[in-house]
Amino acid sequence: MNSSDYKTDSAKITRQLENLIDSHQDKLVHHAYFRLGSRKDAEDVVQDVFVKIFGELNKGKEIADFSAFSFRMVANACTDRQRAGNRFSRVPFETAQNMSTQTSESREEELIREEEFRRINFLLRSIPEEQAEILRFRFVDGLQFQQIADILEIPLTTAKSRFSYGLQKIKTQFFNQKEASHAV
Amino acid sequence: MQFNNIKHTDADLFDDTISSADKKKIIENYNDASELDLINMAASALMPSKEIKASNSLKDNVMKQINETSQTTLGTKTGIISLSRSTWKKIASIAAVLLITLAIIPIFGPRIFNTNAKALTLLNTSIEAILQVKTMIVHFQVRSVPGDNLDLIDTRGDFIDYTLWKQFTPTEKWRIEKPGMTVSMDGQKQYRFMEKTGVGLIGSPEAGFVEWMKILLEPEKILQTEKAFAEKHKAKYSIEETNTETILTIKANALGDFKNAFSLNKSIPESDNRRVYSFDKQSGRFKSLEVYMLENNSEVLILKINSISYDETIADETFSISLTENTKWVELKELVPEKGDAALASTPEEAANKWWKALSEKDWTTVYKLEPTFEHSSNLEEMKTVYGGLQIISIGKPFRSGLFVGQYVPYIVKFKSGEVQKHNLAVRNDNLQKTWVIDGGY
Repeated sequence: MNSSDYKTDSAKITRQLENLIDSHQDKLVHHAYFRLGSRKDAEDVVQDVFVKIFGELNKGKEIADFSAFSFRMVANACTDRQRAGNRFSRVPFETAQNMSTQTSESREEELIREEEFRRINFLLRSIPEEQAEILRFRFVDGLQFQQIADILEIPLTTAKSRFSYGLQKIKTQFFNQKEASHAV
Repeated sequence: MQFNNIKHTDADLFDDTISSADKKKIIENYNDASELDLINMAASALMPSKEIKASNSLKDNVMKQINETSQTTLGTKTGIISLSRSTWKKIASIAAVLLITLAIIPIFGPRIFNTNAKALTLLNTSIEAILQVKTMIVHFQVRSVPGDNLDLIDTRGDFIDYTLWKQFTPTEKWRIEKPGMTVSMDGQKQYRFMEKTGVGLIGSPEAGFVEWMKILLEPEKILQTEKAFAEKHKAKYSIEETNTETILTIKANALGDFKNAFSLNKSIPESDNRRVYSFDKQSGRFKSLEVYMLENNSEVLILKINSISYDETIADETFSISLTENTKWVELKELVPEKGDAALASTPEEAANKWWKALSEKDWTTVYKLEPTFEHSSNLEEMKTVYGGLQIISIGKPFRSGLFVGQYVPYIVKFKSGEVQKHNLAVRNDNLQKTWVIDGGY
C-alpha cells in the first residue's frame, strides 16, 4: 500500500460519509431532538456519532444497514447524555466545539416544537422505557417495525408486542382523562 | 375501561406491511369504536407536526471535526480517528514519506521545522510500535483520593496506586483501578464500581467514567491528542531527544471557570500543569509519564508511571468487575429523573434545599429521586442512619467552578452523631428534564 492508495481510500471514505450525512442527518437530528429537547444537544450528539462512524469506516468496518447502525448509535448517545449520578464527573476533557445552528425557524415554530417535545415525552415517560422507545421510533421517527427491530436487535414480534403494551397504557390514560372530563 | 386484554392487533394497525384490506378486517374486530378513537388520539399525540431538520452547518462541522482531529502532521490530513491497526500502518508509511519531504523543504523555519519533524518521527515510531503490541499493563501512582473519581487529584494527598490493563486485539478491552474504584470496558459496555457507595453503574462503551486519564489507554495517539490540545488551548509543547528517548512535554494552563477556585487543581485539566511523556527512541514504545501541577509557585509531582509492560497475558476476567456482597449493577439509563415530579428541582438552590430537608425529615422517596444512586447503595441502611435526621445549619449560594457541568452549593450540616460537615454539594441538570439532581459532595 503506498500513499496514493491510502489517499484514494481516505477520499473514498470521506465521500461515502458525506453521502451518508446528506441522506441521514435530518432523521437522526429529528430523533435526537425528541429525546433531548434541545436542538443544540441533538446536533452535538449527531455530529459526534458521524465522527465515530467515520472512525468505524476507516477501521474497515462494513456497515450493512447504515440506518439501523446510525439510529442505534444516536439512541445510545442520547441515553448517555441524559445520564445522571456520575458523582463528581465533569465535562469531557475535549469539549465539543461550538456549532452554529443556522435555521430559519421562527420563534412561533420554535415554541410549537418545544410544546410538542414536552407533550410527547410526557406521554412516553409514563410507560416503561422499552415500550416507549418502540412507540418513539414508530410515531416520532416514522420507522417501520422491521427497522425498529433491526435497530434494537430484537425479534419483530417483540417489537410489535412492546408497541401494543405501550399503546395500551397510553390509551388507558386518554380514556381516564376523558372519563374525568365527563365527570366534571 | 382498563384495556386489560392486550390487543396485539394494535400494532398491526400501524404496520405498513399489512394490507388495507387486512387492516379493515382488524378494525371490524374492535367491538368498541371509542377504543379506536383512543388509539387515534394516542397516535396523534405522539406524532410531531413537523420534522426537525439538521442545521445547514452540521455536515461542515462533522467534516471540520474530522479534519481537525486528524491533522497530525504538517499540512497533512490523514483522517485519524479510532483507526484500525491496519490503517495506522498506512498512516505510518505516509508519515515516513512526509518526513523525507519535510527534511528537504523547511517551510516553517528551522525551529518549528525541527519540532514538527521530531513530532512526525515520534508519531511514526509510536504508531509502528503499538501495531506490534497486543496488551499493555501500566502501574502508576497519583495523588488522589481512594474510592472517588479516577480523575480526581488531591495535591496534598499521598500517592495511591493505580493499575491499567489494556487489550488491543482481538477486541479492545480495558480496566483501570485504584483502591475503592474500578472502571472497565469489556468491548460491549463500560462499568464503574465505587466501593464506598456499593453502586455499580453500567453505561455504553463511550460512557464518560474515565476522563483525562483515557489518554493512557491509547498510547499511539498521545502525540495526536496532546498536539490537538496544545493548538486548541494555546498550550506549549516541545519534543526533545536523548540517546535513548524521545520526550514530549506539554505545559498547559488550567481550563474552566475559576471565579470560585473550588475546582482548581481537582483534576489535571483544571490545573496549571506540565506533562512529560517519554517514548523509547528505538522501539517507539510509550515508556513513562510524569505530571506536575503548579501550586503556590512550585511544582508538585502528582502522577508518575512506575512501570509499563507489554504483551503480558491478561486473563479475560480482568475486564469484568466482581461486585462485593449486597451490590448490584444499575444501568445509567434507569437513573434518569422523571419530569413533572414535584420532588425534583428547577434551580440549584431548590435542589440543595430539598435534598437536605428530605434527609433531615427522612423523606427517602424524595432523597432517591434527587440522587437515584443513593437508593442502590449496598450500605443503604447505614447511609440512612448517618444522614437521616441531620440538622441543617446553613445552605449558601450556588457557584460554578472549573469544568464541572453543574454547580456547587455550599452547606453546613450537623449529623445526629454530633459531627458537623461543611462542604459543597455538587448539583447538575444536564438531563432530559433539565431538572437539578445531586451529583455528590455529601
